[in-house]
Amino acid sequence: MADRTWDSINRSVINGGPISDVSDYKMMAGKSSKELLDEALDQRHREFIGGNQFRDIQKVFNRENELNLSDEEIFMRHIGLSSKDASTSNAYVDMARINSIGSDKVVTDERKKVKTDKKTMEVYKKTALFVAGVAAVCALVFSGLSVSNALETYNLAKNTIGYQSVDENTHRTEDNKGYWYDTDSIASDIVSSNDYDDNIYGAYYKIDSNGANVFGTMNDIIAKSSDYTDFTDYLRDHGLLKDDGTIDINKYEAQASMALKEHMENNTGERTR
Amino acid sequence: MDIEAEVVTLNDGLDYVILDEIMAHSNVYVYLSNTEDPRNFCVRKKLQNSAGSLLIGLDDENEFNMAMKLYFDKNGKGE
Repeated sequence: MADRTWDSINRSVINGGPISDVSDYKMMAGKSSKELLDEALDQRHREFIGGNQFRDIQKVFNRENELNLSDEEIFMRHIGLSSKDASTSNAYVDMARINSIGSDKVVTDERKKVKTDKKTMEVYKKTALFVAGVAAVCALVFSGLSVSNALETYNLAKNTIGYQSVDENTHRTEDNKGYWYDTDSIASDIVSSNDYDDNIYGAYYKIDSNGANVFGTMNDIIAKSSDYTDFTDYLRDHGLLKDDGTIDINKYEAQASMALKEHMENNTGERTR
Repeated sequence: MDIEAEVVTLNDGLDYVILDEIMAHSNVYVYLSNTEDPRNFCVRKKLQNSAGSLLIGLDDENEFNMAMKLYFDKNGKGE
């Protein structure tokens, strides 16, 4: 029982074994909240590369609901904190959420340099890390649907010609630390099939996940593969610009991934290679 | 030991120290903590326009969750 982890709990769920008892909580309490938060996030990362589905963790929480514990109490038990701590941490996250979201929150970015005590700065950072960790894991644990959607989108996008045509190993710098994309080749691949929009999204998805200059690269690819002048022109034609003329990237990602899913469901096989 | 930090005043009239800036999805997220109360932590994103640089609120809860995950991924690993 000493090595019981999220994975072993997941296996218990899958195999129909006991999923939660006092020993689980003792094991969890033996780890720092940071270690458990890391495990939960690592679990999510493994899901993206084909490991256990994150929703198995959701099952643990669902089964534990039979004990009439609130979601917050169950979650905080798992990260080794009491229900009192749960109330406190939720209050911190709620405060951060309220203070962060809203179009009315606009100020000029005018910064002043100040001297501060190093220990005080550490307190700021540790509190921020705690709030961010709880918020991030709560978002993952309690929104299984969005995590599943993210996994599904990845699995669909990687099968498009657009995604497969983007290869950061095609052109490496001499020291092999950098690379550049061959946008001529990517554009050529993208127009080789009829699924232009899906391939554009696949290419966008891969470039974005590589952390590259996604808009600059997409401008080149769009200009070389269509009559659109650039990515903005393409998105404008698809009604995906905000009122102020800037790109509504969240709307594009949602719309393009939904369209890709529909196309794949209606035409499996022909859109992959 | 004293260190140098940057402070910005937000809409509520309070000063916030800048903890970190993370670029993702073509946005730069700025993480701030109230200098009087570290429990008061929040995020803004930078917007550059003709009037200069602005700090604006996040669009919705999804963006907030993503911003939290970015911060935790970057700063939580070394703890």
